[in-house]
Amino acid sequence: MNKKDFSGLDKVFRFTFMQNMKNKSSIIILLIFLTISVISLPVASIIYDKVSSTGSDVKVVYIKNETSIDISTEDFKSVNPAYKDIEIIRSQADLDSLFSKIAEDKIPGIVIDVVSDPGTFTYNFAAYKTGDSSLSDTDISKLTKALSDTFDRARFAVMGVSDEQIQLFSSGYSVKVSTLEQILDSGKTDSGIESVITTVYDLVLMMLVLFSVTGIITGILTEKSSKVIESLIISVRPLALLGGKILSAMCYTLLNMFVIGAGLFISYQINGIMFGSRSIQAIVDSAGLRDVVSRMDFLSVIVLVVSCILGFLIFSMIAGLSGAACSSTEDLNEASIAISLCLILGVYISMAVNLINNFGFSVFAYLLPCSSPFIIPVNYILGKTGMPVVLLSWMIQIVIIAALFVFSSRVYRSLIIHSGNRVKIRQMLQMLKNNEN
Amino acid sequence: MLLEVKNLSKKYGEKTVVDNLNFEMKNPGVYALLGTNGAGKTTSIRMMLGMLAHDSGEVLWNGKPLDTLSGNVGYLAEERGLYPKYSIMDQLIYFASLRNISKTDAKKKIEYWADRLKVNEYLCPSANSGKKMHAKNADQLSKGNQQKIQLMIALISDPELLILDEPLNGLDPVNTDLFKSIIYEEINKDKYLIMSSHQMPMVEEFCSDITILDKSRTVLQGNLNEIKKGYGRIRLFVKCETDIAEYINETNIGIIKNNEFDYQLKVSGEKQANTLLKKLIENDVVLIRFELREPSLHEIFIEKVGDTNE
Repeated sequence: MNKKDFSGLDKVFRFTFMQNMKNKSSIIILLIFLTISVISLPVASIIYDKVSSTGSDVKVVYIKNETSIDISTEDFKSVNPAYKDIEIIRSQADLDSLFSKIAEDKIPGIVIDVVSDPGTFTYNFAAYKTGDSSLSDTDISKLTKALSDTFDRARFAVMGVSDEQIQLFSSGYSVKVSTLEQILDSGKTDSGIESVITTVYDLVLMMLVLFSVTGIITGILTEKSSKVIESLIISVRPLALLGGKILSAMCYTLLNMFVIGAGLFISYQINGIMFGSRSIQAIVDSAGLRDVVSRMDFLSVIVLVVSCILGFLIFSMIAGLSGAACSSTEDLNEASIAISLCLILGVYISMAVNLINNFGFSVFAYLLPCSSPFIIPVNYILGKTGMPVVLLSWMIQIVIIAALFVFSSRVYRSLIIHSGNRVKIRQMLQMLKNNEN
Repeated sequence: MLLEVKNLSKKYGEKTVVDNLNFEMKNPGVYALLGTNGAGKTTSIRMMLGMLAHDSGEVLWNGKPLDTLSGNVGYLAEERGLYPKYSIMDQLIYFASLRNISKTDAKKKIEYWADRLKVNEYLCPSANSGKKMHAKNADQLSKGNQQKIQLMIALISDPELLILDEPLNGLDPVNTDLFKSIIYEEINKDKYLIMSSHQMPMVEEFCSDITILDKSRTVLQGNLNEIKKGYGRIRLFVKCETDIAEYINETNIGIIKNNEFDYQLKVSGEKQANTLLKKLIENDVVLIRFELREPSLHEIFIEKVGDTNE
């Protein structure tokens, strides 16, 4: 293997990439990614808005406030615009007479009884509906929560507490229950959102890699089946042919990722114009992604990109060998099986890491070349693994890539000239032994 | 310039596909590699071009191992191939770039060869009703036209060494003549051509030296004229209006073929032929044709390959 083996790589890359970009299906895929990413945030905002601003079936609320703190109707209605048509009636009448009134008026209504307990310094909100009421408990619960929030603000305002201070007091917290073993194993506990992030990342990466490796296999098989390979390899070395294709596929994948990124940026801008920046924060908060977003830094991006590139190179080189081992486009399925199995195995192992939560299995997944590109970046960003494991995983992948490279340099020339039945791994090893190149 | 092929051998497992091939081209011209199907011609060419590894031997171009990347070599493969779904213009520019030809030069050369090979309409379709026309894709071309594009690819770098594997296969008579004229042009430019073919008349037309392969081995090699001279004038063609088998038998001449008084005979030399001619004249046989000549390459080929196949 020397410099000459890569002579012409740039030309192969340019030609393959340009032809790929002229291909209608490639353009359609790019447009689909762009469209989906551009509309994603506005659509998410609309859905979030719809969910959060669903109106209430309650038309009238009788508030029997037995405390000294007043609940402002304007404040309450500002909490959720969907409540603007609800009539708020303050009353000190007893509950029975309030129920009779609701029954008489035949308007969907509820009674909220607000009482204080001086012994425990607490306030209780009790919501009542009539026995034959069709109002849902969820609806009443949401409405009661909005009222209690308004009451809290009024209560703190009386005490001279500012809005900022109120936000600080009332900021959320979560409780997680874990075993000591789990904590020792991973240092962090898992939550549903982490599994979702892993799954989404794995599927997107698998899809992009699958697109690319299928492109590589198809390219090689087209050259073999159309016999154009014979004219090619007197002008360019086989390794340069393979390298050019891999680079082209990698650039196409990066272009897809760039398009998705650019689409999301446009989406963010559009969303800001349509709904304001707070809606994105609300979506991030409601999806539980605030921690993940806060952990994203330059190093995380490097880990993500390097892991993706290394994984991509491994799968591409296997795809190259697999494609060259076949002779006609009819063999495309057979050629794709090996690489598809590797990808699926990698994804399943990656997903299983969060489910099994076992130290040994996690380490195995981090270091296994077919699963590490799927699990390393996510778990690094989630803080579930550290840089030493990442570096060890990269080293293993680099060794595998180098081994695949040496292997390809010895057998690839013979493989791409071969025509006939698919070359099996055993035969490839025989070629390697005979050093047919 | 000097091309030397020395002791080239190749085995697949236990099967020898090329056994100790040796030849050299000291001067420009056409060297023919002949042989039956599976004799090892294409494998030899692939080894010479470095596509296939050889078990032993070497191929030298000007005393150095032939490297198709640094040397200017053109190749028309036996199994023609183009990217079916890509524009032929893109493909030609790509192949030219792989031979380190700039895009501008490549376009000039493409224009020249498109004109010469009469494929302009596929490469530069004229504008039709104001709509921009693009070069055709390879799969939109006939087999013959695809072959012309392949020849353009082989010639685009103006190679010093041109290897043509069955160049005229599948061409109609008009395009055969077109290809032949181009081959003549290349010969006149003092190029080195190696040609593999089953079409013996064409080989006789172009080639100065030959190697006949059979079952991986070289069975005949040398200058074509010398080989023919070595055989002598032993083919006698006689056509007449009556049966002359009796006179032929009397002069102990072997009959190779007899098709309604059109005889193809094998004689030992000019003396035996003259004896027959004298006999025919004495007996007032009306002769339409009486031709004594050296065996054709076709006959030599059949004899050599037939011998080893027996």
